Amino acid sequence: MPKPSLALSSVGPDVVRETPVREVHLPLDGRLPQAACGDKVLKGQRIAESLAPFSSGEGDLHAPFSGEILAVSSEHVAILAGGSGETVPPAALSTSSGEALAAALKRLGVASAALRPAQTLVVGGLEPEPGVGVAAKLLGARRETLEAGLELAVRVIGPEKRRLVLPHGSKAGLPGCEPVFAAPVYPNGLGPMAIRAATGLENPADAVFLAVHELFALGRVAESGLPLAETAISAGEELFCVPLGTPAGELVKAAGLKAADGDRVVLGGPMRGRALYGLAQGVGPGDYALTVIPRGSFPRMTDSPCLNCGECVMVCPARILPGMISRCAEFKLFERTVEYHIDACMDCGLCGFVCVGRRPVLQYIRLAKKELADQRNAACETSEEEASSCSGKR
Amino acid sequence: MTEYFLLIISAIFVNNILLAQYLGNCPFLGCSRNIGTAAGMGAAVVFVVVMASGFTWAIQRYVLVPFSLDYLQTIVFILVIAALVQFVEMFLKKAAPPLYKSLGIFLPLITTNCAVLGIAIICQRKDYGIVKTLVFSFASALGFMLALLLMAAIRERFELSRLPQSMKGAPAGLVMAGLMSLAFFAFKGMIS
Amino acid sequence: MQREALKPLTGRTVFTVSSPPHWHCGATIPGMMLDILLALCPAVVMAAAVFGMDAVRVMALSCATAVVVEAACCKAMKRPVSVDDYSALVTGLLFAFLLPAEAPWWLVMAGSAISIALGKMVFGGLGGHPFCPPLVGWAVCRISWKSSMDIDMSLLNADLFYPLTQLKHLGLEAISRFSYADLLLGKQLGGLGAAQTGALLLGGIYLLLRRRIRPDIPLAFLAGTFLLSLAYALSDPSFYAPPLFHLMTGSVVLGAFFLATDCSSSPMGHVPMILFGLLGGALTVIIRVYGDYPDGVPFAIMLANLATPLLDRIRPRPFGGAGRGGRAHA
Repeated sequence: MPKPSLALSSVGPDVVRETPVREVHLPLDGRLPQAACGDKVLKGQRIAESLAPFSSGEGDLHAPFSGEILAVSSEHVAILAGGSGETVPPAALSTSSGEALAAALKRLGVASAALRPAQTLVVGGLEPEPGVGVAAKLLGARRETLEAGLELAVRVIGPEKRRLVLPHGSKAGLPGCEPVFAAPVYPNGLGPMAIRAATGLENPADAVFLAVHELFALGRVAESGLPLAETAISAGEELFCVPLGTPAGELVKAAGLKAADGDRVVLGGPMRGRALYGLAQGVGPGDYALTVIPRGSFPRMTDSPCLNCGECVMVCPARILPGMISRCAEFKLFERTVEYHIDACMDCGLCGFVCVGRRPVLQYIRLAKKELADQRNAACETSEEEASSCSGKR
Repeated sequence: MTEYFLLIISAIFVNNILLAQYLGNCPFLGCSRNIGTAAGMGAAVVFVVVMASGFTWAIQRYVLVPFSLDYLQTIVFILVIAALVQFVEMFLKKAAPPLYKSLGIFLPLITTNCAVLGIAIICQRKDYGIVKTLVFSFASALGFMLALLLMAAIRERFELSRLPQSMKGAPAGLVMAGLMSLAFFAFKGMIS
Repeated sequence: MQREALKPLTGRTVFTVSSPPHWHCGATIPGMMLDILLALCPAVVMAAAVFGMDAVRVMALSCATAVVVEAACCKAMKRPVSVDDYSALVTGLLFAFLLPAEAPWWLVMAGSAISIALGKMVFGGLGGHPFCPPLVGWAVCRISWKSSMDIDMSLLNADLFYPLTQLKHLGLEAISRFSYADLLLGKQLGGLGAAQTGALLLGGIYLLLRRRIRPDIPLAFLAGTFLLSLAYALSDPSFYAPPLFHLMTGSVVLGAFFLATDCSSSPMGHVPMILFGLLGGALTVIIRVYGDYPDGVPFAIMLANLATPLLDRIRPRPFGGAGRGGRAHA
């Protein structure tokens, strides 16, 4: 089997296709559902509330069209289209700015760590992952929406400098953004790498990163004044703009892909995406790609011990020892991963890509990160309790 | 100069107190679970060994030999070393509590550490002068520290390896100690 | 495949669910080991050509013992038998390469078994061993059965000579009989595979081209040997052998490309790898010049192996600097 290319390139013409769907399955990702089975909902009505940072889904979820709630489970909310097509009243976004606007956007379902005041705004115009074509097509075909999104982002962030990271030779551009060119190779499209390409600094405190597909989501909200209802998602060689909750099966069909027994249907790119268990699962906000990987394309993941070969060390953009971290996580020595600078990890998955033992290195790293975050949260809660009991005494 | 250089090389590598003479294996296994403890223990041994060798040399030369009390050598040396270790312990307790804590039981154990007594006695056996005694004991203790650090780094990695259940902990350490001294056979015959 | 059994009777499509990354570069442990075996093939052929059936016997016996012992160890540890990754075969073959062609059968079997059991399986198998496994077997045999391991033992029934003992005991004049071309073609005594300098070099270059090993360790090892022997040769050319002689004799090439590059016992970063190679190369010359053993390579690599975990602590600054928690934004 040939080694897959890590080049970031978009194939096919810059066209964004729409696919109409009648039934959507909105993934909850830990959000709290706010609707019951049988409820009639309007387009833009809130369906679920985000409990971030305790739920993995950030930002509230809203109905992408008016209709009836078909089912509510711990995993998803299903909505069947119907009714008059009425919408909730649009929000007035044109006057506010700064933190008030960020809070308003959060209520509209657009939540990002990047929506905070900062000196530099870096827009990621490189494709986020190999085999994904979203950035170039949006820059080519949906410039007005991106400009609207940029205008909104600028009002929240208030940056002095705007940079647009582009692949070498790209002629795309956005107003007020100074183009910066970078090699179109994974992981250069990821936030920390793009910020370094644009500013020359590693994780500077005063720079934020927004990928083009995030800008597109902002732009759709700016144009309509309604909560986030769709996402730009690449499947096969095409780019689609679909309602949130569109079942993966619809996309597979629309893109002319085939998903057979034993294949992997991945929401997200091939390096960081999550594999689906069924075609009924819907896309969520922030999902930018659907990838189908035929069975037998790659060696299977195994329970092999770490060989210490150092391939992951050579390839790691964060210059840490992913293999050692995975070994610590394997033996549940999570505190020790801090010594190996797990905080520097940018979650690119290259370590698992090159692992000769075909170990789930990225998964081990994510496990360690989660365990550490849980420990920190627990520590925070106890110290808060102590603080509140102290103030109670006073 | 060459003589001292060879003495140092010999004490650190060729006649390494741990891996060629097999003295002091208790702290070698007990204090080699992580590098921090190993470095602390190594430093404590360097300090104690140099002091002890100096003191015992003086006592041998000016007390034991003039009064023909050579036969009390072992007991007297142990007493001197024990007193010294108490001093080091008090000093560490005051100056470096975390180090004192991490050394735990092993600091008092230096009292009866055969490496300390062994180095003091080797110096007497070889009839070294005071300068040679100090240089030799310092180098020997450095050799001890080197072996301890190497072992600690390797054992830290053992915790991240799929050792068989029965090999975890001390067994793997003992096997490793044996293989390390096998590797130190490399220096055999270099300097007598 | 076992997955087939999971297919439900309802006829619904069943997808594979696994953690990212979903792509993979395609390199696997068996693939890597097969490449190493392939790289060792020229040396196997040369060894058979120079030493005849004796060498074939030793290699076959050593490989077979290694595989059987590893399977037995896996059984004893109640773990899945892992011999299908060919790593035991590599260990067995590398151990045979270090032996004289006339080694008695019990020595071959004992050493090969020790390499696997004490060098590898005791530490949990592949990935856990602190020493390159064949070296453990070699060191135990060399110290326990000195006369049987003596390369010169075969001096009586061959018209070849072991250059390193000639140098050690007879001085610099004795090695003038070896031309570099002869040394390269394996017309010398030595470990039966280790002596095939040219064939091993070919295999090493193959591994480098296939990117199974990185050039850091082999080149640093050769450089360490070359530079220190050059320093000695310059200090007294009438007493110390020229550096190229050191590079082409004993098991320097075998060590540089196949033993020192053993994954689990060698460090991971560029700087640690280079230091590791230089240390091993320099120790080789030191042991050859001052030590009891004519060929210092196995011991030198074992000593360098000891330093591996310490060397691995030398790391560049992580992305975004140490201490400050860098948060992934994307």
